[in-house]
Amino acid sequence: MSAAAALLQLAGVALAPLLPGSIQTGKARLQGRRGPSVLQPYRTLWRLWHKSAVAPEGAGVMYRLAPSLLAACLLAALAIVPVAGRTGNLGLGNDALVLVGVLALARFVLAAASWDTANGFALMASARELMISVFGEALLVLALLLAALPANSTNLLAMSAAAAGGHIWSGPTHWCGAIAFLLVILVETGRQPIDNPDTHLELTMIHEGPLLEYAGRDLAFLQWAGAARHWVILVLGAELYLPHWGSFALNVGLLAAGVALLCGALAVVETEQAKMRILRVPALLGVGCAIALAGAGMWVGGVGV
Amino acid sequence: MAVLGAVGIGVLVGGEVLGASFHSAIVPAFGLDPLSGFFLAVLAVTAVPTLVFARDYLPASPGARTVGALTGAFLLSLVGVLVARDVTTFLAFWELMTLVPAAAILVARRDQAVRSAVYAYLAITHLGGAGVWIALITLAHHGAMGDPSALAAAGTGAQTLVAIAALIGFGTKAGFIPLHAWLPRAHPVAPAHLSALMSGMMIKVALYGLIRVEFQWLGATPRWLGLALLALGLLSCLGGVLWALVQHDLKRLLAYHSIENVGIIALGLGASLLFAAAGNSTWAAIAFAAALLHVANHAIFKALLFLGAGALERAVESLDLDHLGGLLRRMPWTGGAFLVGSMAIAGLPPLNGFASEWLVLQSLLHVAFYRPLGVALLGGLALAGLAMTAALALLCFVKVVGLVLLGSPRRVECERAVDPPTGMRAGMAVLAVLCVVLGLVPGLVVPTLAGLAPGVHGPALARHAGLVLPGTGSYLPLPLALALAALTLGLVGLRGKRRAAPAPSWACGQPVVSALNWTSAGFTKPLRLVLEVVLRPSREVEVARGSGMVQSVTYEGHVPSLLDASVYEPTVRAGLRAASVARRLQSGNVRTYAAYLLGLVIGLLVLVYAGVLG
Amino acid sequence: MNGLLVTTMLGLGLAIIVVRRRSVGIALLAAQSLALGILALDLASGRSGDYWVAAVLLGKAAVLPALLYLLIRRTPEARPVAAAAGPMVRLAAAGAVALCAAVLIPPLGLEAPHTEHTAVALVLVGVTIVIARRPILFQLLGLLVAENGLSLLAVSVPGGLSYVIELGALFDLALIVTVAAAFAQRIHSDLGTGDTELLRGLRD
Repeated sequence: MSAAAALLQLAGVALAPLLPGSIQTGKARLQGRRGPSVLQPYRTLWRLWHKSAVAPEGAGVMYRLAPSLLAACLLAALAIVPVAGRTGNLGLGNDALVLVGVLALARFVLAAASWDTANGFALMASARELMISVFGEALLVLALLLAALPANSTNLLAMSAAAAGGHIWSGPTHWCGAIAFLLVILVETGRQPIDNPDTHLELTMIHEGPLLEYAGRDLAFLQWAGAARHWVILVLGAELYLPHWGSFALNVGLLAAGVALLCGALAVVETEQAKMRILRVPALLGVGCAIALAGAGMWVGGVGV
Repeated sequence: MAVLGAVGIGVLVGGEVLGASFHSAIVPAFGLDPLSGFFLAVLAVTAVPTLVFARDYLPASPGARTVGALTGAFLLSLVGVLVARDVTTFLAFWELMTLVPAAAILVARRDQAVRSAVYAYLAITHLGGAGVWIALITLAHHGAMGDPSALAAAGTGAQTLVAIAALIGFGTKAGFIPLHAWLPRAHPVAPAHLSALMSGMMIKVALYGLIRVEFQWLGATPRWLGLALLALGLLSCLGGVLWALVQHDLKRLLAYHSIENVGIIALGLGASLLFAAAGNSTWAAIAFAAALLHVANHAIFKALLFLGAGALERAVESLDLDHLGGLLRRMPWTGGAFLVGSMAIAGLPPLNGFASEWLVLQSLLHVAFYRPLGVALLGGLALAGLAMTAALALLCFVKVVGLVLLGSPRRVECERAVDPPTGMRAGMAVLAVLCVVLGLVPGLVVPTLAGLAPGVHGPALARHAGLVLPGTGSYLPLPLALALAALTLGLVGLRGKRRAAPAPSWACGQPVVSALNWTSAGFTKPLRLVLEVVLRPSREVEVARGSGMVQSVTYEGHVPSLLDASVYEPTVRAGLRAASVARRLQSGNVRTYAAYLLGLVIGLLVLVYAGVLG
Repeated sequence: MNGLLVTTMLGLGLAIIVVRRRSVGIALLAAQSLALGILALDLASGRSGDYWVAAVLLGKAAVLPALLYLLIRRTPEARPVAAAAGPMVRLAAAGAVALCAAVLIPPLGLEAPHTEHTAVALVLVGVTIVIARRPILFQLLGLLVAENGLSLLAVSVPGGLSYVIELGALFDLALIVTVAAAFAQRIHSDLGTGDTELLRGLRD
């Protein structure tokens, strides 16, 4: 409900590529290399912007439309997620379940585009990604349930306000939610142990697969969309499951620190963990769901509220 | 055909009086009240485009006039069930509603597979339908049709009997798992417009009966019933979509999705009952409205999908998923309508499927706030289950859209496919437009639906264009759709019109041949592997060698229907064994039968003498 | 005398279950129907409708046995048909059934309990004849005995039963007999015998 918040949400468009960039740099430093600079994704986007596109044989309207539609979905998601406890009231509401729906639309569009090119690698990757998303979506909804329990509402503003302060951390529910949301972050951003974002082997791709068939500005849109996904889920995580309190400016600072912390955590996790066998991923996500359900049960049962 | 069209329009006019309470007395045989008016409106909205479609679809199929007449009879029986006000009328039209589609299916096709499917349909619906008879006759016996207090006065025993009997009876007809086995057999073999009506409306009419008995006439809101509905709904959701994923025939896939959507409606109804039992009437009304909205939405997009499947079958002869493709470019109208229907059923914003699924998700989330602990946990489990179902439906329909509409055609008939005649296109287009409209402004309909919930007096929700719920987040589809459209157009503009370099698809440098085409089973393989325990797939690989080298490899994979093997087949075997034992009584000898008669008479006389009878 | 006639009817019915020759059975049936007609005439003093009923019954006593006799003339049996059980067993069974009827039947509201019991006993004995005898003709005879029992009941009702009903019953009966006779002739000409046990071989 303020212009500053609206500006911050729109700034997400420009700031999003910073997140995967910083994760890459962090990983490189941890692995003893110098690595690319934090601004490397911007250079990639600039380079792609000036290249020409590709038209695979047999590809139709879905292929051509998909990158734009995908980027539009993620722009809408950016407008739905509030920053630092306030929203710019951009007309799309702030509902958590609507966010889930918009992300689902994005997944559909990309998978349909991979069918349009009928490329084997893109389809294999889409099949795997959709399989993981079956369990990932259950986990996401349960994590949002845990955040909604203190607030009695699915409005992200209310959820963020209810998670402010320190008292929420005294009971086990919020800790369960944090663990579940960490798994959600891994699923949505496509980081190890669930997926390897640095892979060049087509047979091991999950999130990268459908991008194989694109070039030029289309690919720029898709790369940006991946970065926007990082922004959406990391900001959401910091809003709901990292400590925040106080005035708006303090909250902005805490949000920046929280996102940076999460990026660092992701870099550490990626360095420490090897990629998990894909057929074992649902078991991991199932454990996350069980933890979340236990947390919900404990809240309703009145444990440590 | 014109007569049938007039019937449709007449139904439309009759159903339009939603909200105005007609005479809801019970003693006269026919009447309408807001709830049945709503269902009648949904029937009309679904039936009119279907009839327009059928006008152009039927003349090319065998037995066109008979099937057309039987379709009209089917519509009349559906209307009859909705307007019936006493037991005999309801049951008479109920039986008619069951039997007419069976006749229509048998007119068009007579082969052995179809006949056994129809027998299974009739047998299972009648066995389960005994529940309907028991429930309604008990209600009439206690004078409780339309009068909730009468059954409450009859005690909890009668209430429990009626509740369980109605759940089984109407549940069989609606297609809850484990009573669903007739649905995937009967719906695919019917003509396209009849499948649309069966999946769209017959199931909904069964749910209408369920709502009437369990919500309005039961006289109590037992919590166990809400939990049972939640559990059945969850089971139907997940089971329906999982078995849909492994189907190769498009129509059978759509039939299994009907089961899934009925499960979603049951989830909404169960949540409503749980809220009512806990005393929260606002959320009970919201959950009820969610279920009713999904009733309307499912009727529309399922009819659209079945009509699309019928049009596709007309164009390319076979609906085997692995041999279609590229039809979006060649049949733009059909393909576009089918795409809209698929996106709606997959629950994607801003179409109507997402609106009702969002409402059900909200209801389940709020159920999870409640003690006792069991209710909250079941609510949370149902919430996770519904999210999984949505993701699974998305997977399934991406696969369907990809295999049917996108990519390149895999058969000669697909290359030569053309759009069907105007009538069929018009029917599908109307339904697709309805999907979009209901998706953009669901808030216009929802407050009226919330007012239909039992025990609600006065408006529970304010009327907006979007879905604004009290005390929780809101869904505003119109701004969302506008934003998405505007942003997409902007980005397409930004992308520019630079000439794209034509290139073959990347297949590690080798030329793309038809053998590299991805199949339906291939796309669902990761999921099949993960869910091996549930699906129990079986596979057979045969390698034929000749002169030391592999000549051919044959692969056969199959996912059996678990319930068929573990529940239905033993039951059928036991029934046949019992029948063969009873057959020994039939000797064919006149004198034996006369002896039975004499024995019966003397036995009755003895009983009369002993004072047991009369 | 009415009681004597009624008892005679019962005795004749029991006799039908025992006899071997078909012509004797038909003669017994004729006698039974005659007794019934005389009884009706006796009870008919008073109303004209009752005379009509009595006339119908006497006519039935004449016509039906004649039809049946013509039938057996056309279909001679080559060998004697083996019976299901011996004559004494059959008589005992019929007697038991008649006794059951007499004991178990509740009062029906006729003036003479003897008539009631006999009438119901006759019906049941007729059914027993159908069960116990193998030749088709005897099964027809059994049906006719049962019909006689019903007519006895109808006639003895105080106030008399309408002759319309009687005529209707008679018409049905005549129809049945004609059809059955046609079938019996057909079966006899195909199989050479009227033994119903052999007819079971026609199944499957």
